[in-house]
Formats: sequence, C-alpha cells, structure tokens
Amino acid sequence: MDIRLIQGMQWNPSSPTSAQPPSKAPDQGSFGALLERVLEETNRLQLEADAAVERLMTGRGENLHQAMIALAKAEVSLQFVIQVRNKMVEAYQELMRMQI
Amino acid sequence: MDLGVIFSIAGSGLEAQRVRMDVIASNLANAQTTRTPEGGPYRRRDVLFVTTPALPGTFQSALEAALRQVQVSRVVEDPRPFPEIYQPGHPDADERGYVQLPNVNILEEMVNLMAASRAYEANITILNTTKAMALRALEIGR
Repeated sequence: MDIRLIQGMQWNPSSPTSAQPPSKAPDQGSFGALLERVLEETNRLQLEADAAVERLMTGRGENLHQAMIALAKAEVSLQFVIQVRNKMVEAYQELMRMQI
Repeated sequence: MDLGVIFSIAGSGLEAQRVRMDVIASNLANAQTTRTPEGGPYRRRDVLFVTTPALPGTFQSALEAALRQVQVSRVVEDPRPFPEIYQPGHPDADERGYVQLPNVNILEEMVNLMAASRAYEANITILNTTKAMALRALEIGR
C-alpha cells in the first residue's frame, strides 16, 4: 500500500463541522424537500395549537371553537406524518428482504 | 392542507352564531330595562350576517371564488315601537302615567336562541365529519 495515498486525505480543521448538518441539501422537487415541507407545516400547526390553547387558558382573546379547530388541524397533520413514516419504514423493510 | 378551507368556513359560521347568541343574551338580560344611558328603554338588537370570500385572492378558479365565509357585519336596533303599560307610580313613568318597556319578546328571543344553537351544532357536525373523513383517508392501503 503506497503511503502517498494516505496523504491525499487531509484533515481540514477550518471547515465548520459542528453546527451544520451533512451538506446534502436536497434539490427542489425531490422527496426529501417534500418531506421537509410537510414536517415544517406539521410543526407550525402544532405550535399554533399550543398558542391557541394558551391564549384560551389565560383569558379572552381566543374562542373555544377556534382552539378546538387548531387542535383538530394539528392532530390530522400529525397523523399524516405518522402514516408517511409507516409507509417509508415498510418500504425499507421490503427492500431489505430482497435476496441478493 | 386542503382541510384548512373547510375548517375556516365552518369556524366562521361558529363565530357568527356565537356573536348572535351574545346579542340574544343581551336582549334577554335587558328585557325589563326601562332606563338606558342614551335615554328611553332598551331597544332590542339584532345581528346582520354578510358573506366574505373564503379564499381571498384575484386569480381563483370558479369553485374557489364561490366559497364564502360568514361574518357579522353590524348590530342593528329593532325599529319596532315600545310597548307601554300604565303604571303611574313607576319612577320612569311619563306625565300620562305610562311606562315604556323594551320591545323584546321573550318567546321570539328563545326561538332565535334555539335556531342559533342548532346552527352552531350543524357547523360542528361539519367539522367533525370532515376530520373523520381525513382520518379515514389516512387508512388507505393499510
């Protein structure tokens, strides 16, 4: 094994490694981007439901039915994400079962 | 999420009926009020509903432009005349001895209250049915 091959791999200490996710930003239209958007939307609905319930509990400014609507929207969105995860896991397991 | 349109339309219906019930409660509470800050007895109030576009925007399909939310445009006063009863000892009696009472009919208000309550429940049924449909749709292929 030629030792000069090892010198090709250099450790660059100046590259930021900690605060960045692996630099595979998914291109627009790929499944990863779609999943990210869905997760962001679900998160937004969850936060909105939390805020609505808090406003309802601390006094006027929120109606009961508005808070319940926000909770229902968040619940449906979360169930959708759970189903997407289930399907992805199922597809992965199906692929793993394939004989080489 | 395409549920947002249905939820906001039904939510606007719930809000409008709630405002209507507020006004009905005001009428019922003041059914015997003979003195108000602006003079005279309490005049019955009612709400006016108006439609607003459910999906605001200029470039819409025909369906999106037809969807409408409801909103309370304003609270109007009932112009019907006040009933008068003869009660000379009342502090608010005029020189003939008649006292003007509010033009609030208790039976009419109770019927309006029941109608508002049923409309509220109908909107809630829409919300529940829509959410049940969405959760059932998530079971496709299970």
